[in-house]
Amino acid sequence: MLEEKENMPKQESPETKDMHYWRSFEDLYKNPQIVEASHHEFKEGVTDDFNPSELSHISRRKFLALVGASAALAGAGCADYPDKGEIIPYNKKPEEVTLGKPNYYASTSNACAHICGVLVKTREGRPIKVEGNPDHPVNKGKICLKCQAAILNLYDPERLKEPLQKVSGGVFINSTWKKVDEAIISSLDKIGDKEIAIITNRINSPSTLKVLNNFTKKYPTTKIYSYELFNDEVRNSAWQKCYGSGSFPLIKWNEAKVIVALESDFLGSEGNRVENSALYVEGRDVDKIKNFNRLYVVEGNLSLIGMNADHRIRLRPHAQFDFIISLISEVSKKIGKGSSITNSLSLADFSKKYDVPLKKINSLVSDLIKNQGKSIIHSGTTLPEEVHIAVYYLNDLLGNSALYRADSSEILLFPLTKSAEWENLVSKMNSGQVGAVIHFNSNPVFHLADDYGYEKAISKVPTVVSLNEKENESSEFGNFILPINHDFESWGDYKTRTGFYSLQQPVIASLYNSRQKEAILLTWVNGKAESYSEKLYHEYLINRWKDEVYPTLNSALPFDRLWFGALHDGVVNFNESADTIGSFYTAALAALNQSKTEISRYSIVLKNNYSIGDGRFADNGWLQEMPHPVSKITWDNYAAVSFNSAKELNLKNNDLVEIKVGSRKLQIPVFLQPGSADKTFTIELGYGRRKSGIVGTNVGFDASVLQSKTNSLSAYLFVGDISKLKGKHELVTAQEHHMFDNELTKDAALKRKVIREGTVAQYLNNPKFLREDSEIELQTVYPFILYPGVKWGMSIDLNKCLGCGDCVVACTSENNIPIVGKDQVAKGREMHWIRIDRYYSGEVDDPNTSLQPMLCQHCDHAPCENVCPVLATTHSPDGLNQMAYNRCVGTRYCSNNCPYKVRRFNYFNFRDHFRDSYQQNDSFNLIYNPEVTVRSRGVMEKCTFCIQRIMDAREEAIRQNKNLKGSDVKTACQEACPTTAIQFGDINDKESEFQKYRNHELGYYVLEELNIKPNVTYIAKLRNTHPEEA
Amino acid sequence: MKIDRKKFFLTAATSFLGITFLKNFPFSAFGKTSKSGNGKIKVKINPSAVSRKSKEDNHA
Repeated sequence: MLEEKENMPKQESPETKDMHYWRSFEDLYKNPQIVEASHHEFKEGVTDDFNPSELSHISRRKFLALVGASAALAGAGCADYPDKGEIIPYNKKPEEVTLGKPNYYASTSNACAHICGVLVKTREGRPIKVEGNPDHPVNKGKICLKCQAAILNLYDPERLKEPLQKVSGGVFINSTWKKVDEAIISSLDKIGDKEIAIITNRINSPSTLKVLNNFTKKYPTTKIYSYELFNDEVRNSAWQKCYGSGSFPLIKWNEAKVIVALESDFLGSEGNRVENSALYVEGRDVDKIKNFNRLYVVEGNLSLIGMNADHRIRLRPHAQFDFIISLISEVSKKIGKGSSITNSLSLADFSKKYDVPLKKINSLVSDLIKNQGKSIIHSGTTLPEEVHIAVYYLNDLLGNSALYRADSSEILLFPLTKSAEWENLVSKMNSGQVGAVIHFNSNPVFHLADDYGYEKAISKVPTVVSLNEKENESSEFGNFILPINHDFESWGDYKTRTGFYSLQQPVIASLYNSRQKEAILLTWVNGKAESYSEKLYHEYLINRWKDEVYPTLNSALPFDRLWFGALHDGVVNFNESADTIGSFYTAALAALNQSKTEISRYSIVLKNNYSIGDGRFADNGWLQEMPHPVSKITWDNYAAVSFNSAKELNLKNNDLVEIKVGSRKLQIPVFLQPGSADKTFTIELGYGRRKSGIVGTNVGFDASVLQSKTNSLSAYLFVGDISKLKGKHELVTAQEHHMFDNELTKDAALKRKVIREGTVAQYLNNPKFLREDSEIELQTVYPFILYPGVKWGMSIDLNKCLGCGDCVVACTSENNIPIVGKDQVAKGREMHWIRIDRYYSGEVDDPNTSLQPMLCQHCDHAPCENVCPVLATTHSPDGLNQMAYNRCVGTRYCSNNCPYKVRRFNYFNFRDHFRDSYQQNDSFNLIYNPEVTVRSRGVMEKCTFCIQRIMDAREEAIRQNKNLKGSDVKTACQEACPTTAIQFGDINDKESEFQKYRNHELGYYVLEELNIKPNVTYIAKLRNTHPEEA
Repeated sequence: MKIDRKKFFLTAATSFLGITFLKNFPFSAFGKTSKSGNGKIKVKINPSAVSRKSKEDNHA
C-alpha cells in the first residue's frame, strides 16, 4: 500500500480543482484490479447459471448432528424469554375493585419530616402512582419528587423478606418471627438496670409516641433518642432567645412583596418546599402583575432559589453575619429606630471587603424600607444562631412579623436529642451500661458524626436490633434485623402542624413477611411472641383514637363514621390555636456584638440534597437519575466551586480534591459552578452510602465525615483547607445532552429566541413587547389541517416554573420510564420524556439563570413524522403526535429530525441492562402502569401528553353522555407541578380557562421561525428587577 | 426399506425419552433473571383500608 501511495499522483488542492471523494484506500490509490473491476457491473462468476450438483454434499450423520444441535440451541436460547405468567380473571372479585378502573386511597407519606398527604392510585390492588391529597391542608394535592418516588421503594426487590438473626461467624441467617421475638423478649427481660436505647428519626405520629411510651413503662430503663440530619434546631433556638418560647413560625410567602433569602433554599432543599413554592408563586402571576413579588437571594452557591432570584448576590456563608449586621445598621439609620450594633461595617465597607456590588445592596435596602410590614428576610438552616437572631431582629424592626402566620404552627411531638445526650449514650455504651439498642427505622451509623464514636461503641452492646425495610450501615452491627412495612403497607396518624391530623392506611397488604414497626414493639411490650396479630397496631390505633382523640374533636358524628370518613379523606381538621408570638427580647442582641467571620481560609458548606435527601433515598433509582436542578449532574455529589477559586487551586471539572476540616478529611471531585462565591466549597450530603443495596451503595461521596460533634458555628458550616489530588472522578451531567444549540447554531437560545424574557417594568410599559419583533408571516409548504373536535395543547408559565423536577418523576412513574444508570446517562441515553433545560446568561461569576421544561411539542407539522419510513409516528385527529411502538423499527430518523431533541431511543432493554437486570425482578412488574406499554430495545419513545389519561377521560365522557372537555384531563406533569406552571387543555375551546394561557401576550413557541406549529406555549419569564438595576 | 423390530422399539424408546427430557428439563433455570428468590409475590388488598373511586371524591 505504501508503494502504491508513493506512485500515486498528489491530490489536487480543493482551491484549484473539485474535491476528490473516495471510499477506500484501493479506490484512492487506483489499484488496477479495482479499476478494471469497476468497469463491470457484477463480479466474475456471479451471473453464471446455478448448478445444484456443485453444492457440497452433506452426510446423514452431519445432517442429524446439525438438527440436534439446532434443537438444543433453540431450547436453551429461548429459555431466557421472560415468563409472562398467566392471566386469570378474579374468581371472587373484591367488592371495591372494578377491573380496568383505578382505586384511590388517601394516606400519608413519611418520606421526609414534612409528612404530606397522598392519594395512592391502585390498579387491581397494586399501588402504581402516588399523587398529592387535595384535601390535605398543607400540600393541597401536590407532593415532591421524594414522595412520588417512594413507591419504587415499596417494590424494591432488596427489601427484607424475613427476620434475620446473626449466628456465629457474624453471618445473618433467615429466622422466624416467633424465634426472634422470643429471643429479644428474653434479652429485654434480663436487661436489669442497663439502659435500652431506642434510636429513631423525628417522631411525627402521636400513636407511635404512645407505643414508645408504653415500651418505656414496661422497660423503665428505656431512653428514646430522636434525630433528623437536617433540622430547624438552630433556627428554633435562636427564636426562643428572641421571643422566649415557641418555634420559628410559618411565613405568609404569598403576601410578601419583597423576599430576602440568606443562604436559604426554601423553594428547593429546605423546609416544606411544596407548600412554600405554591405560596411563593401567588406573587408570580402575570395576570396580577401589580402584585409581583421581588426575590433577593444572597448565597454562596447557586441553588434552586438562586436560579429564580430577581437579584442574586453571591456571598460566602461566613460573611452572612457581617452582611446582616451591616444591613441592620443601615436600615436602623434610615428608618430612625433600632439599636446600633457596635461592630457593624458600613454597607460601602462591606461591599468593598467582600467584593459585592453596592448598587445591589442599596436596591435591597430601599426595597426593605419601602415595603415595611410586607417584606421578609429568611435565613437558612446552615447558618449559625447569631445570623438567625439578627434576621429576626431586622424583621421585627421592619414590622415584618405581620407576615408570620398565626393560623397554624409546626409541632414537634418529641424533642430532638442534643449533642451532649448522644455523647452520654456513646459513653454508656462503651462502659457497658447499655443493654440493648433498637434502631427504630433509623441509621445512626451513617448519620451521626464520626467523632461520636457510635460505630465502635455499638459493638459493645449485647443486644442490637434493627427494624428496617432493608439492610443499612447500622443494621450490620446488630444481632437481629427485622423487616418492617413500607409506608404504603402501614397504619398511622401524623401531627406536624396545629389544626389537623393526617391519617395513614395500608393501600396494599404486606408484600413480604414484614411487620409494622409499632406492632413489633407492642408484641415485646405484651411479653409473648404469640400476642402478635396483623391487627395489633390497627386496633391499638383505633382504640387510641376512640379514647383519646375522638373526645377532643367535639364531633357530632358517631366514632365509626368519623373514623371511616377520616380514612377516606386522609385528614381530620379541628380547631386548635397556633403558637402566639410575643415581643422581641432586645437582650438577644448581645450575641451580635462579636463578629466571627474568618475570611482567609475556605468556607465548606454541607447541604441537603434535592433528591435523595439525607441518604434515605440513595437506593431509589428514579431519584438518583433525576438531574440536579442546578448542575444537572446525576448519580453523584461533588464539591461546587467558583471559577476563580478553581483557577487559584488549578482545578478543572472532575479533579479530585482533599478537603480538610481540622483532622477530618474528605476526597471528592469538584464541579465548576457558575455563580458560586469565591473561596466556598458546597457539598450535598446523603451520598456515599456504604450499604444501600445494588442501586445506592458506593454512589457518590460521604461528606458527613466532615461533621463533628464539637462544631462551634453550625453542623453544616466549616472553614477548611483544600488540596488538589492526583486523579479524577467523572461526573455525568444531563445538561449537555439533547442540545439544540450546537456549534452550528451557537447561542441559539438567544438568537433563535428559545428563551424569551423581559422585566416587569418592560411589561407594564408595553404588554406586547414580546411580540413587537416577531410579527412576520411565516411561510409553510404544508397544507392547513383542520382539527374540528378537541385539539390538545399545553402551556408552561416560566414565571411559575421553579425547575424543581417534580414533573420529571411524575412522568417517570406514570409512563413506565426505565432507569438507565450512570454509564448510559454519560452517553446521553437517559429516558426522561420531560427535561428541565437550564440556561445561563451574563457573567460567569454572577449569571442570570433561565429554566425551561422541554417535552414533545406535538407540532402540527411535526418534522419527525415526515421522515419515519414505516409510519410509526403519525398525527391523531385530536392533534397528538403519536408513536406506534409495534411499528417502530428504530431508524432514529425522527429523533434526528426533531428540532427540540425530545425523542428517546431504547438503545437497550434498559430494564435488563441496568444493574444486572435489577428492574426485571418480579416485584417491579407490579409497579407498571397497565395503561402504558412497556417499551423494549430498538424502539423510539417520547411524551404522549399522557394519552392514557385522555382516553380514560374520553371513555368517561361517553359513559356520562357528555362532550369531552379540555379540563377533564390532567397530565401527570401538570398534576405534580406544585406551582401550577403547567396547564393542559383544548385549544379549540375558546371559552375555557386554558385559553388565557394559550393566547397570552407573553406566550411564545420555542423555535417559532421553523413554523412547525408546536402545541406547547411558553409564557415568557418576567424578572422583577429593581428600577435602579433594570 | 424394511426396519427390524428391535431397531423400531429402540428408536421409539429413544425418541420418547428425548421428548420427555426436552419437555421437562428446567432450561429456564439457566436464564432466569429474577433476583427475588422467594417465588411469586402475592398482591392482596388490605380489607380494612377505605378506598375512593376518584381523586375528587371526598366527604367534605
